[in-house]
Amino acid sequence: MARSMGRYREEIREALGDSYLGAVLDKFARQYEVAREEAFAGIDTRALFAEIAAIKDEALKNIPELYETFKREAEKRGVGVSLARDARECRETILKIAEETGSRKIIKTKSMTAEEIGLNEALIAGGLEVCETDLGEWIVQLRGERPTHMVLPAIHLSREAVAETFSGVAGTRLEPDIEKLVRFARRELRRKFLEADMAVTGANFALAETGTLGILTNEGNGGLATSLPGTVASVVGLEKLLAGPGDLYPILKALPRSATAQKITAYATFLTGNPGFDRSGKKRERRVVFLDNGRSRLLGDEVFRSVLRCVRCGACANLCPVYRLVGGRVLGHVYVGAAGLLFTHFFHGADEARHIVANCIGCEACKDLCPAGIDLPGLVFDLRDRLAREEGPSLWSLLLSVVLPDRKLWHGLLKAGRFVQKPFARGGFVKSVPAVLTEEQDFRAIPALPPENFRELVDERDLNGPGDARVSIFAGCAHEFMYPGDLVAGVRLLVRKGVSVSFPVEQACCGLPALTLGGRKTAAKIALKNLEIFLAEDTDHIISLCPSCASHMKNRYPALLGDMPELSGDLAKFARRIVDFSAFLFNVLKYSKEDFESNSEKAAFHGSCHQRLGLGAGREPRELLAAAASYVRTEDEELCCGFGGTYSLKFPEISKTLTERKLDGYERAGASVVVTDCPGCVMELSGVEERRRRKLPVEHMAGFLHRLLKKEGGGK
Amino acid sequence: MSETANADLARLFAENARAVGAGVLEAKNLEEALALALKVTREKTKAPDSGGAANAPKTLFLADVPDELYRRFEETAGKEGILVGRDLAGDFGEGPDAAFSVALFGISETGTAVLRFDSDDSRAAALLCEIQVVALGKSSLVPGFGEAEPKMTEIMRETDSRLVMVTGPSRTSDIERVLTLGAHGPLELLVVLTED
Ligand code: SF4
Ligand code: SF4
Repeated sequence: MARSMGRYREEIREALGDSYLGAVLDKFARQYEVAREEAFAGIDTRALFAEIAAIKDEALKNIPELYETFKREAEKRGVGVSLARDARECRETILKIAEETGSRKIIKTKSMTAEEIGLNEALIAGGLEVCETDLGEWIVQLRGERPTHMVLPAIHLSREAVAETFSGVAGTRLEPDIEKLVRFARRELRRKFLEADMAVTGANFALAETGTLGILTNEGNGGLATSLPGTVASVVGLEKLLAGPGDLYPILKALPRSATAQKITAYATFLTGNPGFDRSGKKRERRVVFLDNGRSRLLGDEVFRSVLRCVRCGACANLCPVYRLVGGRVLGHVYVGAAGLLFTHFFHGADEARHIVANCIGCEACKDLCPAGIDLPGLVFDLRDRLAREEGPSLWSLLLSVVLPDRKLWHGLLKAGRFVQKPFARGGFVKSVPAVLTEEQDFRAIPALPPENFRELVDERDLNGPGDARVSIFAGCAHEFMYPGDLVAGVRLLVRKGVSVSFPVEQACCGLPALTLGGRKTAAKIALKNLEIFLAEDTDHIISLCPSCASHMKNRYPALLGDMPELSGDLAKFARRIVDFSAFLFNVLKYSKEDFESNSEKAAFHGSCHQRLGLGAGREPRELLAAAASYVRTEDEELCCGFGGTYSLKFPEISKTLTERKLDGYERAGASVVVTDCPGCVMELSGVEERRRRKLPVEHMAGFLHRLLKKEGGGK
Repeated sequence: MSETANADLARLFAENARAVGAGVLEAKNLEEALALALKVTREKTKAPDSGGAANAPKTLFLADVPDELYRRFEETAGKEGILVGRDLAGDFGEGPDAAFSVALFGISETGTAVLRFDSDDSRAAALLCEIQVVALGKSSLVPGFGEAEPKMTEIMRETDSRLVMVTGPSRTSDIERVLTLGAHGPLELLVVLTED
């Protein structure tokens, strides 16, 4: 039965309370990031991933034909091939194969597809003995658990926990010594291999042209399972079909590097045909059962077809800030990580997926990691949109669809907020939680809206520098109303170096909040409006001091307006003009040490997700910090702060944990100020710091740099 | 291929194979490689938990070796009390001490030996053993996947083939992500680069 939101939140709290899990996933993420980087060194990942995407897309277009070809070629070579429409049919087919061949003892190799259809439970219910042979899978099987990572199924368990589990099997106390535990498993499972009548395996590739199955393993269990037992049945998702051996190598190059930072797994086994007879002269049975289970429907789905490119590397879990905190039991069902957000919906239904789909901050950390080039965060937004359309939009989404596209209404509301909050405002923060927020939200103080917004604060003299470079400012809601002072500071930093700045007054929200809540149509409407407004400006650059707005406009507008091909030229021009604020200050305006007063600030950096991943800027803001003050390097500078706009309303416990951990790190490093380029991050970090009554100030880059500028020669 | 290019490929292969925990030795020819396999079998100390009695004879599985050579080695090994066989129905218990096979070719970029097994028995033996010994002709080395592709495709097109790319000994990181060699497959992989 699907989890209720209440139960899901409870699971989140349990996972957050598991200090082993949090620490191990965090450590893994750090090591993985470095190892992956090294494994891909010298490889143009963009080109490689695009090549894989193209190979998979081409295959996905032809699945029925590829299936027929595979079947013909494999059957010609003595291998039985069938197609199971759904999970039940697949389970029944495997049970039938066991019955026909008189198999009782089954060994299994790791197969996400078998997990997907609950095969083990069915085989056991059918009176068969089933033993997982992948070490991690065996451990979780013995414990009656589910794997919590696609590549490392038992990552949530310590050696002590494994020793305890194995002690149960051994009937004697085993030491928590990893090498000894591995040897113990080797011995126990060796017997199972030799005694097995039948193996159930998965496969990484099904090559149609030759009817070949490809299996990658490190432990060697794939090879043993397909060579020792008389009967081998492989359960293969239809999406594993490739045209032929020629399509293999780009994937073979990227998959192990993504999964485990290896150039290649210890074993890559390619089996064609049926060898005929086994050691005792008994005929060998080789069967391949392809699984549909919703894949055909997905193949016909223009928006979501690309999720079937997935090669199950697990990378999209590894660096996901939510996964790092709560693990696969929370961030997934059978499939975990960003892929799990999507697969759960398509393979296990909307009910199972509902809360999981909501549990993405939209940080985009997974996007460029995917070796199959799947736009995971984009598809999560699309899925929310589809759910909102199918099940009716949430109240928030409905509200935003009316308010956001109407600048006057939206800005009017924000201005009204200024007066409503007045009696509560104190020292830059609202004194008590506004009624729309629950007590759970009270881990973060809410900034008070200042008396004047940006439009009221800025005057003509602020805007026009004497130089040739012309920049249009996109303010974004946070800067217009919450932190207008930072935006004024940013404009002055531009003007001081001679930039001529314009501010198109008709601009409103960028539309991102609508999109995250599943309001794609609203977001598209807003996108069109902003596109028109800013192209009419005809300036050289468009700059926003909010990287989330900038990245959304640069990277998501083309997809949002994808149904208007006549706009593609305009969209490309618009996207090209959008540049990161810090990058512009450093690269173009050449801000350097000479521009700043000497000071004793020890500035730590918080890299916003969208600045790094959406705008490709990471070096420049650090260079600016080093120029303006003394820059203190800290761990996890670029780890998500946990805000994610409306995300923190849904999962405050995750938000809070992420933010507090970051702040603790900065305090430990002895920073005197934390600087970031994103107003959302400023709000999250400073609000939490305020609420926990600590004193570390958090500033936006613009305000920070402007504060330290040398006084002479401009900068009023 | 020129000799220096070949030496470069061999050097690169050895470097990459060692990086993933394989041992790399050199030998003049197949016969010498076999002699090395016999030597490692002889010198192997029975792991205390390898199953089988400590005083049981040591065993060596020989795949892909020409008949005449096989018989010669069977005899030599027999004199030392080492049991040699080429199908698993024999006296291998839960697996041979060592298994020998000849690689089809090697890939330098990844330190991979590509093996084509003539039967499932020899494929299984190469995994059941504790030490896997692979003879790999230096002249068969190719730089990367690009050059490996046509060779592998040709074999996959056949009616019945078992192709295995082997890179290092078997391994697992499933417990606390600590790399441990010798999961289900060999604890050690020894690649013997041969001159011809
Ligand atoms: S966008 Fe960020 S939070 Fe969402 S799944 Fe990807 S990594 Fe996780
Ligand atoms: S979605 Fe991409 S990154 Fe995630 S498991 Fe699949 S292939 Fe790997």
